[in-house]
Amino acid sequence: MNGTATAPIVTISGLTKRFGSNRALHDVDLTVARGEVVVLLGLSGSGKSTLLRHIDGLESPSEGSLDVLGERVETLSQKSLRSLRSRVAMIFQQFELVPSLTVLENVLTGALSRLSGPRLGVWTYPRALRRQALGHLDRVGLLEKAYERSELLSGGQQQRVAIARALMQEPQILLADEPVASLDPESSEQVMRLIREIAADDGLTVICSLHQVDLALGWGDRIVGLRHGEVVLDTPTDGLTKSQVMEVYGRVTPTAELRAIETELATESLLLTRGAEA
Amino acid sequence: MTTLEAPPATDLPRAEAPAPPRLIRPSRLAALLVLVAMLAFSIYALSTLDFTWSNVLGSVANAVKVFQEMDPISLPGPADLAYLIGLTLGIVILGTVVAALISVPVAWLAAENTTPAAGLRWLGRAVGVVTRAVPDVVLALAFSLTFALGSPLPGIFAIGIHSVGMISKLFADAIEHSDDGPRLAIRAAGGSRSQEFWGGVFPQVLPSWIATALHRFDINLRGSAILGYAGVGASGTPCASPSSTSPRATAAASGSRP
Ligand SMILES: Nc1ncnc2c1ncn2[C@@H]1O[C@H](COP(=O)(O)OP(=O)(O)O)[C@@H](O)[C@H]1O
Ligand SMILES: [Mg+2]
Repeated sequence: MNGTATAPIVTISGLTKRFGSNRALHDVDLTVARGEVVVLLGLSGSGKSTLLRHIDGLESPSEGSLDVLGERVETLSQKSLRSLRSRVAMIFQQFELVPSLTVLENVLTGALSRLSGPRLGVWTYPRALRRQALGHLDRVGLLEKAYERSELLSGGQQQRVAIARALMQEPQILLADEPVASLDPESSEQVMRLIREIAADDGLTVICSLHQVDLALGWGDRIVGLRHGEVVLDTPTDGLTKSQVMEVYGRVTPTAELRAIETELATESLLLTRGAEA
Repeated sequence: MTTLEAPPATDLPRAEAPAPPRLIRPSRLAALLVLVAMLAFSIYALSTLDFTWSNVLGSVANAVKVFQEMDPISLPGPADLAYLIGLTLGIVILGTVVAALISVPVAWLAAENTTPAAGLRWLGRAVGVVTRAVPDVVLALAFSLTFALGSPLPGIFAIGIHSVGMISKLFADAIEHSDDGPRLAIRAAGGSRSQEFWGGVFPQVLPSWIATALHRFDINLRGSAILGYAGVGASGTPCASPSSTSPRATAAASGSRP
């Protein structure tokens, strides 16, 4: 898919983002073609989330420009930004469902941008949307959970609900911010496969951030590596080996980098457990 | 984070060096000073009061008089009593419901994470503080001047307004403690501000809203007899008529000297 002559759907040039004196992104150039599946690789703090949030119009750049779906993001009005965000879907590491709402209602909130005014309760959504939501739930294999409270679902199931919610937007771009970082290996595998399938079936453009090289290698069309807010790697996945990624992305020996990532994972899961206890 | 390079923090110029640890922080010291001042003032105030044991013993006669005037307690007939209790319940329920409803926009304004603008946040908090500060009895008395005697409306309005203070305060706290994630997910999907609130925040804080309203209902129910005394048509109303003819009793009850 990489290298086809389709017009870019995302063009980022010279993007720099500062938070106070902290530089989260530095002079990022990135072009993504329609239908491409891109992995954004980088350690925690390397700027992956910040970059994705810019593409969804949730942050405005300190310097540089972004073109997304033919819109110049940094010049958009609040109203046009909302319209852009409705065409770009996003899923998150922590799923971000409303725990007390049913699975179906959580999925329906993905369609809010198409409705005027707030909604509360499944029955306040138009019937056609409810049917559509059930269709998406069927697609992610959770139709039978439609009327359960979302907090009762496992992490992997919740992320699939979040994917169904994203599909309600009928998006052209799907941004995934470490979608499997809180999941066990089996659910991770399942969620990553699902995203890949949906991307292929719907011709979605996907930009998915990860910090596990293993997951990234067999998955996307292309890997973009971020380090301290800078793009340090941008290459097609085909024929890429793990040590090649490690070398460019970490500039350290693969084993050391791998250990660093494993330490980070362990720390994160520890924090998660603590957060759950608190 | 474990990396094999120099940590990035070192090349960031820090605005100021970290302050050396101090044993007593200024805020603590200030709090302590205020406490000591308050204690000293209380002792001084107590010493200026004409508070002696002989005075207390002398007041026993007053207390006896109060209890004598209470006898016989004359309750209304069963039918009237049932009507008055029903009326009281109605006033308290309606007043609390009105307050709970008004509290939603007030809390939305007052909560840091949902307020549309900093100025409006102060407005929301001011509404909460003012409604909490004015006692419902005062409101009821004020409203009873504008409605027919015995009308339940002053009671409903009084409870409805005064309760906004507590419900909106606790509700705003709950909103501020809610998880930001679902709200931001709706924003990321192109939702509007009101959709963020009703779709991402309100479902999370709904249980706390109901619990606070029920708690306030309980308080209002217990306070309703006094509201009735203020003449706003609750079960305290009949109590008001006999004693209003005998101001001595109230004077005695409050312990003031004739
Ligand atoms: N809203 C924010 N305010 C201040 N600093 C931020 C904010 N968002 C991100 N940062 C900083 O930007 C850097 C990149 O963060 P992030 O994009 O979250 O990285 P990643 O997603 O790769 O872990 C970090 O140093 C982080 O502390
Ligand atoms: Mg991140």
